Amino acid sequence: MHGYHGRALVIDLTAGASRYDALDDATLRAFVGGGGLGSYLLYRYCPQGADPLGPWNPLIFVTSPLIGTGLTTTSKFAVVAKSPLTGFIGDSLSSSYLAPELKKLGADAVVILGQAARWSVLCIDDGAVTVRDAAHLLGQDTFETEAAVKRELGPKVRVACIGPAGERLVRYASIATDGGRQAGRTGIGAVMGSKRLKAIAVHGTQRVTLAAPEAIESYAVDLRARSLGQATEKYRVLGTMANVASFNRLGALPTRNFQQATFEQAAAVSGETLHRTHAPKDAHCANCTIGCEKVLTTSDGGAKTSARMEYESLFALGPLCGVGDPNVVVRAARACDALGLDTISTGVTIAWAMECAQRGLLTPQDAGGMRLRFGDGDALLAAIELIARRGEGLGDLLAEGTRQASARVGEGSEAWAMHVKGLEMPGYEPRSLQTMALGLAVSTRGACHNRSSAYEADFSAEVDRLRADDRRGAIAMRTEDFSAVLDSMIWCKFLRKAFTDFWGESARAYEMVTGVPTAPDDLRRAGERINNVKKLFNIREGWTRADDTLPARALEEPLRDGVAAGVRLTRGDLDMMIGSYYHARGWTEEGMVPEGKIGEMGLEGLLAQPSSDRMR
Amino acid sequence: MTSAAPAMQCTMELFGMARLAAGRVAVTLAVPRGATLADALAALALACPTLLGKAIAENGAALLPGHVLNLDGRSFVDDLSQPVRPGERILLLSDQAGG
Repeated sequence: MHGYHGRALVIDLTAGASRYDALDDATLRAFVGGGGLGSYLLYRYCPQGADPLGPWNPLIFVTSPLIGTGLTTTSKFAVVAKSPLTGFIGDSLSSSYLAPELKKLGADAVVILGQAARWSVLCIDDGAVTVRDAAHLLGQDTFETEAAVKRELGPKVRVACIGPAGERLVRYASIATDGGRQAGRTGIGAVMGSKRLKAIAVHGTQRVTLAAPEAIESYAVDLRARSLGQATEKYRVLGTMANVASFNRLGALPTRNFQQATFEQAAAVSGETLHRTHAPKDAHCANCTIGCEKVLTTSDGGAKTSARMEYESLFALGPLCGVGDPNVVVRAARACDALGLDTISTGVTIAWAMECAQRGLLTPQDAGGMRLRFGDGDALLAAIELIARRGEGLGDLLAEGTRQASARVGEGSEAWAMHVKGLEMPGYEPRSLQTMALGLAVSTRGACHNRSSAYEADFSAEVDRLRADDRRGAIAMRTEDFSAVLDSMIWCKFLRKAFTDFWGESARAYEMVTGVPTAPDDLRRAGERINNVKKLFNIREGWTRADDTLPARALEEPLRDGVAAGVRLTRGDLDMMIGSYYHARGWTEEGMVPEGKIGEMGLEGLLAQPSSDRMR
Repeated sequence: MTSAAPAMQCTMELFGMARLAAGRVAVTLAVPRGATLADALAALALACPTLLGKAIAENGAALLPGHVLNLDGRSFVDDLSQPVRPGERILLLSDQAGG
């Protein structure tokens, strides 16, 4: 089959050995690539019950069939592992020049098992695998690490690395590439740290063949033109920062640890204002024509600092912590990128701690002398440093994430620990975006806005976003399956409205690459299959119906401010929507995947996989 | 709607690209009683012609792709034949909320 190498490179760091495992055509078609293929590989290579920070949790880098085609936004990879935050499937996608380099290794995925004997740089040059000592890189930030590895190995290598946070196994550490771009969510940087890998350096020369290269080139030109049209203008000009002002107006901007849904200083950190006051520079991911990334530089009298800024970093390090000074947010985002921390989990965890302090649960004595207060930028910046270095006391506590930190502190603080399944909440207020509330509750990777784009329905006339009903299950399923295919092809989500017919175009693109006749329904079923295999992984790792829920705050407290003041989302509302979701998916009332559905999805073979295939 | 109908006021609040194009956060409009959202949009285009081709179609009566209307911050609408209520605040914003 064109477009794939048909194998995975499996590296055992403990044994110091590597091999290729075949990936047959049927498997590749069934799971497409990226997040889908990664989910399959995780099920296959992760032993049941594996410690997420133990040696046999696989760290899996996965490419996709569209990489290297020249189609805009497709230079993306997925990295998948069992999450140290959730204990369930963890995955993160990143746009990066690493993606095409990974694909040239002659494998569709790199599965890393075991643990290096000492801190190392894993070097993969085509199929040749070596490890180099990384002792001299320890403590360096992600920018320094990437630059150092390139200096040592030459400019042709592409590098993925962790910062101090990953070294110290902060449970929401990220993996960085391309000078500070992050595969941020679910703590995969901690998994990399647990393997004593400070960096991975990749260089390849093996290209796949394409079934219809001229047709792809023609389609690429057409799609590129559409990517520069009206549908993406918001992203191209303002970036996702534009969400701040509109979310605030709609009562959907989580503020002060979700105690409020509007922020009185929202205008100061809105995309529209920052466009005027900070003149952001445009930045593009690898092979992307849209350029949604906006690089902000501080504008105050302090040391000049720049950071890529997007809505999620802005919300989490700004309004959620009560911070309305954009220069502080820029410094905080830069610190997270350098230290290798997920900005969402970092901001949400610090906001939880700020509320604990507000309620007298974390005193300055508990916090090593630090006075945590909403709106205190200095405290925010200091807390980020403490977390990344697991500073004694507070840093070590917050490095565990909100779920474990609140379990340690107790005193009812679990009620305002804003996570689902252990993954901290993104910037979508569930009480005023009630389709998204369902999407967040049932997502297999925890509170996630990317694996389900259920919020799309809330921002349309399709639903009443302030009320729950039993139509939401089908909507959440639709948006999850759509996202699964986007994340597996892999297309950028910001391209979605540039397609005239997403399913038809994706099927044609897949066929042009692979030569395999593909119908839109084939991809729809792939999306459903991928979400089922994710769920099956979670069930295998102990998922129960009780895991599909929202933090107590979202279910027990009405919104207090903004246009949605007084709006509630009750447990009954959420349970009703979850029931409708399980029904739409064809799962049992307890959310289990029945035999019939497993057969319908063609997943019996995966479940029967011999354990020897999983290495341990 | 007739031209003799008494006027009422509504306010268009602009977000994102619409705010950038108009250079204004909000615009108060006088429209006849019985006016529809399409009428309000046309009045907005007259008040802020820089929105034509940016958020509003060149004919002034329809939104361009990528934009949506919301009433008083609560309900999104896609039917522009819906009547405007006196004093209504109509939000013009992006239909994309990905973060």
